Amino acid sequence: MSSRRVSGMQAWALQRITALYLALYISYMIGLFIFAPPASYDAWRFWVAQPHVSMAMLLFFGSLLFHAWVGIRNILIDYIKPFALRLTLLVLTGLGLLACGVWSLEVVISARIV
Amino acid sequence: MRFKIYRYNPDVDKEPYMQEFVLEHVKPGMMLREALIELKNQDETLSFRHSCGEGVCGSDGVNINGLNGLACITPIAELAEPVEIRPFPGVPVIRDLVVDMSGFYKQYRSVKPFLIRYDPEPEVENLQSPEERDKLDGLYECILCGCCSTACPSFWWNPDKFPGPSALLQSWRFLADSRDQAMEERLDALDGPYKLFRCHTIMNCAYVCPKGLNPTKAIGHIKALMLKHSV
Repeated sequence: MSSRRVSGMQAWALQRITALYLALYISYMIGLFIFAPPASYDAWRFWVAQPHVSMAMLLFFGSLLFHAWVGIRNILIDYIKPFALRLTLLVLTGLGLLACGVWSLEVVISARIV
Repeated sequence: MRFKIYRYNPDVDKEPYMQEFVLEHVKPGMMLREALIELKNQDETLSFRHSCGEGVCGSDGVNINGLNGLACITPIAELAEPVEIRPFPGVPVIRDLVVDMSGFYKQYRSVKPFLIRYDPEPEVENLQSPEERDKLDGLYECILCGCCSTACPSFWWNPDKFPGPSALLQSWRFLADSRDQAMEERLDALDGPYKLFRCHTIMNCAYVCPKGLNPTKAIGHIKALMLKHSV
């Protein structure tokens, strides 16, 4: 029952919690770029390298990837019936999202290495 | 008044087809069920289910101009011509407008639509307060016509695994009942990706329900209750 719970209630609840964070973070970032855009690449990099900004950004990427995983999995469960095809697409989606996660981690860490 | 009615007799027809009918005498206040009976007098091979004729038995659910509804409480004066009558979508057709509802009933059975009690049977009736009884309003009125579940895309995609709006409404009817003692078991049975969480709040169910019930709202209540019991 426990593994089923992860893909049912917990996936649903976490998708909603991550949605809330994504909405807040994206609104803040849009506001930032409209009203106080960084003056240069170095200024942007310096801003990102601050610990709380890095953390918020990593949390954003983590939330985004988890949110996307639950959403895409839902679509595949609804529309893709053949088991082999569904499994292949799920694995490819998982690997793709994982690669995006590693990449975003690398981007944020490299901003902190001067 | 012009009608286009879905016809399919698996013994004779290779494929379903739409047959045109004309109803000459439209009586004031005529319901679609009466119109279908008149049309059956023109062509006796036309098959459809009906019984009480007043929206209580839930036998004559059909797809009317693209929307599921009960023929007996649908005034034909409100329908655009030609009126297209089809069987419920997403379920096997037995003949013409008669569909196989066994999958729908199987899902109804799967939510254990009866009171489960572990306490010994009381000597007197199981009493409820008026407030406790009020919680069942909007739930117990379901007549199991199947309009909602056969209008639900999630039920079309996974009719064998997803209980569908009707069964989930009934599940909430017993979860909300102060006399029921199987809340944990009921919630456990609804967890996982295919049960409660295959509902994507499309809300076709609430839109088509001929009794004005709201299965989506009931599903929301179950989700909130499950969340409360998970944290």
